[in-house]
Amino acid sequence: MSAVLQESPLSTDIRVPEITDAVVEPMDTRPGLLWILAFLLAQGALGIGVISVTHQLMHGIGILGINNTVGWGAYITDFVFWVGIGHAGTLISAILFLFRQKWRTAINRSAEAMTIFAVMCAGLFPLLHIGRNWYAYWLIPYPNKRDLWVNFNSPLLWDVFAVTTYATTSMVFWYVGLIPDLATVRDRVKGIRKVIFGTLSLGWKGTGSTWVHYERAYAQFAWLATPLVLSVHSIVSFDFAVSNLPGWHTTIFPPYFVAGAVFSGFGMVITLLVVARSTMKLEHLITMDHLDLCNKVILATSWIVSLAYLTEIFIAWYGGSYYERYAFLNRAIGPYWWAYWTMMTCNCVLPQLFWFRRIRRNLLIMFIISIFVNVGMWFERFNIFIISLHQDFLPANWNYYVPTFFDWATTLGSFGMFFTLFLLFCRVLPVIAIAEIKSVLPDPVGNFTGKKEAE
Amino acid sequence: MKATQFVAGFTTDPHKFLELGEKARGEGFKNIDSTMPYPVHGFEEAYGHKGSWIGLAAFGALIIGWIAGFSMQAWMMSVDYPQNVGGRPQISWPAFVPVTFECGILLAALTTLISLIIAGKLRPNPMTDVVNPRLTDDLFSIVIPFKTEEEKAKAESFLNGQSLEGVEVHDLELLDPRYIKP
Repeated sequence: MSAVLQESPLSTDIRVPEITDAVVEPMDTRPGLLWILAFLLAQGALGIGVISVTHQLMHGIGILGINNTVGWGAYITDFVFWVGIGHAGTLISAILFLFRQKWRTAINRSAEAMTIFAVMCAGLFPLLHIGRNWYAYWLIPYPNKRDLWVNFNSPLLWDVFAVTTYATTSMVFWYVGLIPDLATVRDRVKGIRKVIFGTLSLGWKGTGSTWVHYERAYAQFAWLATPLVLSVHSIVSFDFAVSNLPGWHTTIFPPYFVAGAVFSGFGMVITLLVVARSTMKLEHLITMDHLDLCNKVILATSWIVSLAYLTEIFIAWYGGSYYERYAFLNRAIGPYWWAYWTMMTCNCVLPQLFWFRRIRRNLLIMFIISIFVNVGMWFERFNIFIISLHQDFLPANWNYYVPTFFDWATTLGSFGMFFTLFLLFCRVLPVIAIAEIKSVLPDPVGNFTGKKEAE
Repeated sequence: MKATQFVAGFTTDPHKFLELGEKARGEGFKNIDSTMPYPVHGFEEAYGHKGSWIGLAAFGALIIGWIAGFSMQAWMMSVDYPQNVGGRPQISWPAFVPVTFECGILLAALTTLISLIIAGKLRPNPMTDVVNPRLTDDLFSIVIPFKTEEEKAKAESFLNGQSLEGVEVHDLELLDPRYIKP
């Protein structure tokens, strides 16, 4: 298995300068109609989100669907959903790097961009959810007149540290990876863009004495990001697992959340790559083999997630706790049965289609499945948070949570923000790690006889 | 006297590029460097580069970050504002593990970035001059700095005998910001 994966799926016919041309070309040409339409759509969604958030800032979180019983609604679902989406990018950029998986070089740049944008979306939701948003800085321990510190025994505070560290490290890792490619672009453009890329590329000249340090730094980031990414979603799961609520209080949460995060993240990777590779004419660099491998990861993580669901159900029965047993029965046949079975269908049943090679290599079907994977993972979080909360220990308090227009509008707005940022990224930065993909070419002489010699 | 200029020999073939480094060092050239559009496996050995100290710096930062992160929490929770929560220990260390871990990772990541900027001599430069724009595309070069005309002649005759795609003389300030004349 690993021997197969370590092969580079790139053709031996691709020459080095052609890679540069193919990656830089979308930055030099005018955007196509599809891009403009997608951008307008994303802007529209973002606009709705901005209006909704403005309304919330003016009137408070009372406009949301949350009630006395269900204190965490769609916002927290969105938060965990977006943090999860980010995990695939770090998995590809850091963990696959440590395992020397050469195929990652075609998709790591866009996946890392996706990570950063997803974490930015995620970070918005707790900040909006705290209510008095202008006191958001109280989350950070700083010397203050009130002589108070934050509570380090609280998993919610661990989350503040985990997500900010994750956002910072991902951005630094991404930027360091971009430096040689920014220099490549700098040497090909003119005018104001040369000044911008010259500044951003930090005067990169590609000298061997710099590459020595660069390679070490890059590997260092991978070593740091690997435990970091595993810790981040574990800590997100502590927000729930450390509490004492049936349905939340389970030790399986950290690995189950991490696997789910990778599962949903790869779903988003497929959603983005299927569109990006064809509209940007990068089929020869992001090949069908790459998508095939991503789909295999989706299939594998789907099974981990399914196993976690079954384990939870088994332990709820086997553990003998009356409340725990009720919580899980309530998920499947309670008032939110529709959310539970949406999750089960999208996360456990539909990805099984990826057992078939022809489906793993069919662009339309994999695109549709990837959308369902994302829907399913959103509902997984909805199930965990809302179903566990809506019937608490006093039956008089039992309540049915319905997201309001503003919940949905802000959720839509986060998608708008995500796609706006991603579409802009496709236009202004190299979407493929140029220097990295060149260094994993299959290596016959054909790749290196540059066509530019005719000039 | 420091060298201010260098002789560069160009090639697009990474295998030839590696051989060139070995040969140049065999011929006794000192302080040779290179430029690469993408890293070639084994260039450190071929060009005699020493390892990088960035790993050590990051490791040190990781340990310092862990110690600082734990001390911060222990001090805030037990010295500066101690609270008695049902008689539980004030330094409840298992609860401090996640934040301690993240502090170490954050400091190590930022240290790696700063170390790279220092060690790699990276400086933002809006008006970056380059030897050849293809050096960030597909062209490799060996860089042999020289101080005297004799050294220059020796380097040029060596590189001319290697059937390269060009041999040129340039100022070192094109490669290293430390050589930029005031």
